[in-house]
Amino acid sequence: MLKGSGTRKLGGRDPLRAFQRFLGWSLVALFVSLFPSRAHAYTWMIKHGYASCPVCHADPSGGELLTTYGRVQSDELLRMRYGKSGGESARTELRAPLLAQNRLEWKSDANSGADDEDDKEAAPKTGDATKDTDAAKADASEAPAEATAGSEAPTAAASTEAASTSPESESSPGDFLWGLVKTPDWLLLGGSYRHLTVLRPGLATKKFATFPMMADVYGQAQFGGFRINAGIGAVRVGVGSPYARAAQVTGGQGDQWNLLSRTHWLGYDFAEGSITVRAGHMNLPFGVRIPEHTMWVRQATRTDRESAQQDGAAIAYNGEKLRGELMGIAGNFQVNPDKYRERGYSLYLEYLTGEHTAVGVSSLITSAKQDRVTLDPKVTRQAHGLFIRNAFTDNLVLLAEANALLRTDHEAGYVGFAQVDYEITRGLHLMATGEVLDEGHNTVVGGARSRGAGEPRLGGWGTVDWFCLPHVEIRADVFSRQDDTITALGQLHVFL
Amino acid sequence: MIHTKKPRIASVAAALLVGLASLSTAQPARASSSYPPEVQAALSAQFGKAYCVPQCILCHQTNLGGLKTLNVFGNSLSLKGGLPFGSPQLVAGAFANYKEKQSNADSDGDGLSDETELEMGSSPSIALPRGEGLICPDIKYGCGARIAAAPPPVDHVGLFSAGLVALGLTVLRRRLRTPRPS
Repeated sequence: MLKGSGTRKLGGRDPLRAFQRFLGWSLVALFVSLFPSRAHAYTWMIKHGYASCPVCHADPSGGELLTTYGRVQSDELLRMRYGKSGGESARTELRAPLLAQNRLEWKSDANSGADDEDDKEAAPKTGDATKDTDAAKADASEAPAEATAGSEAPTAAASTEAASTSPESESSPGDFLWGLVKTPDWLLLGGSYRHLTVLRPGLATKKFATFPMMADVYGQAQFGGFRINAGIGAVRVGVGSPYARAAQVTGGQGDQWNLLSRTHWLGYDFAEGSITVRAGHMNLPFGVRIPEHTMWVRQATRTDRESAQQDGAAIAYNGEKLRGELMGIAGNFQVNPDKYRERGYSLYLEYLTGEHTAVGVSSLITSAKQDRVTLDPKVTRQAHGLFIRNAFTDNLVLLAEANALLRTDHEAGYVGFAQVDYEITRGLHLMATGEVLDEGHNTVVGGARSRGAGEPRLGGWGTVDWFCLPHVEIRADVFSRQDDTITALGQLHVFL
Repeated sequence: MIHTKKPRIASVAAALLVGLASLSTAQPARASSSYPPEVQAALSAQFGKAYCVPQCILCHQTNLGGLKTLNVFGNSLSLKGGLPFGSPQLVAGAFANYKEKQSNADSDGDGLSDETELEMGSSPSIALPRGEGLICPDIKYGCGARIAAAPPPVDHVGLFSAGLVALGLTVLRRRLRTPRPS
């Protein structure tokens, strides 16, 4: 499938023209990136048979940039359908070919022009389908042979066919910016904008705040097996805020706007894309990759996707039943000076035990001369744990994770969460989440034990998540944690 | 085939405008980060010199801050200085009260008073030498990490220039695509 080279799309054998085009697209991407945005992984997609991530995401462990196929599936599987045909067809026809998604041709729509030609031979065009839906369809046509659960196969073919024949298909959901921008095969563009409104009625002042939480754009260029992936965004946080700082590119330490880059890496795919080796600034491979960066399980292990990324090298494997990633952490070079940089490793390994169940283990050990959060000297942090993703039914999914926390000069602690996601109707989710945290009592500073530091601290979330329009999500959360006031969050998320 | 590009272009343009408008009027994203500037002002006034923006660890157990995560000095300041939760505007008064009522208080018991340690930039909650310099650490964020002066890095001139570059590239690309007469 990888006969063609990406350079053919870049301008044939004329290197000058190829370079001009590459430069042009790069600058356009940079310009677009000046406007805000980020798309997040939805780990509950396992209920649709998507146990692994690279089918829909450029990152082999999920999150952020969507592949063209992922963009189509986002439109087909996530969002609410209005009217008779939309809702019914979506519910009954769109089931993913289980375990067939790990293949490179599923994963990357940025492979080569030759793919398209092959695909056209395999699956002639129907109607006005775009080249992307053709590609997806052709891939889907091969899927049944690959799928271990072939009976579920029609699915992506059905989905893309539905996309190609319904009036909505004209919006070409596989293309960037709601189909307005057709990118060449070697290029993926994406991004997201999250606007957050916070209401804390228990506070004496500043009960209400509204601000853009995320404004990032992402891109990936792929030439054969070689990939360049980067994201850039803008952010403005208050002085002393723990958020976003560690992802800053520009050096403003106050409450001015800063540019940030959460991820930027180079990678190479081996073994038809089942193995990816990367180096650069990446999300830490650990646990369930959820978008809620303030969830204790992500915050206490410092493995969120908000600004906990680190520089290093990683190897990821995505097989039929097994997937995992190991990253050697060289430190976050956007944090200065060097004594605050953590070095060590982070990994996860997940095994698909059934059609809709995956269990995994995670492990992380890092050390720094001085901890940038606690400012403790010579700190080694460890987190080791288990996680599970299970789709009980088509509508009900459980995500859970539990980790032991070990830290220098602290007693052993733990953190965990369990989230139940019920999709009432296509595109409308109700979620209930419980979490627990004990980071361990500080044995040097001493003092009384408190909830979260020597004693368990509990929290609970209630969420309504509505994928109301193509690539648009509206979400409302109410959460309450012991020793904190009740907080309500309203979020508009547009993912490009 | 019915083309629906125009409405979509309008929708996207409207969305971009709304996004840009929200950015231009945005408050900074914050947890309770109203406190650090208030504490900075209070300490600058108390010691009659410029003071750094203190880390959350001055009053909290970690730099993540949070309710009921106060350390021993934070608790003392809250109780004896009179600083109720969620009232950053009362920080200056609380420091003044604390200085007046607890002038010799030594929260971490290391032999130096809280006031002395605050003046040194050391933590009044963590005994020396461990607490030395913790209030004003040398941590900096960003590539190259310097204190950025105003104006912010993304300015209108920059946006306009980037737009011009993109436009120029588009025109150039079209010209390159246009077949030349032979």
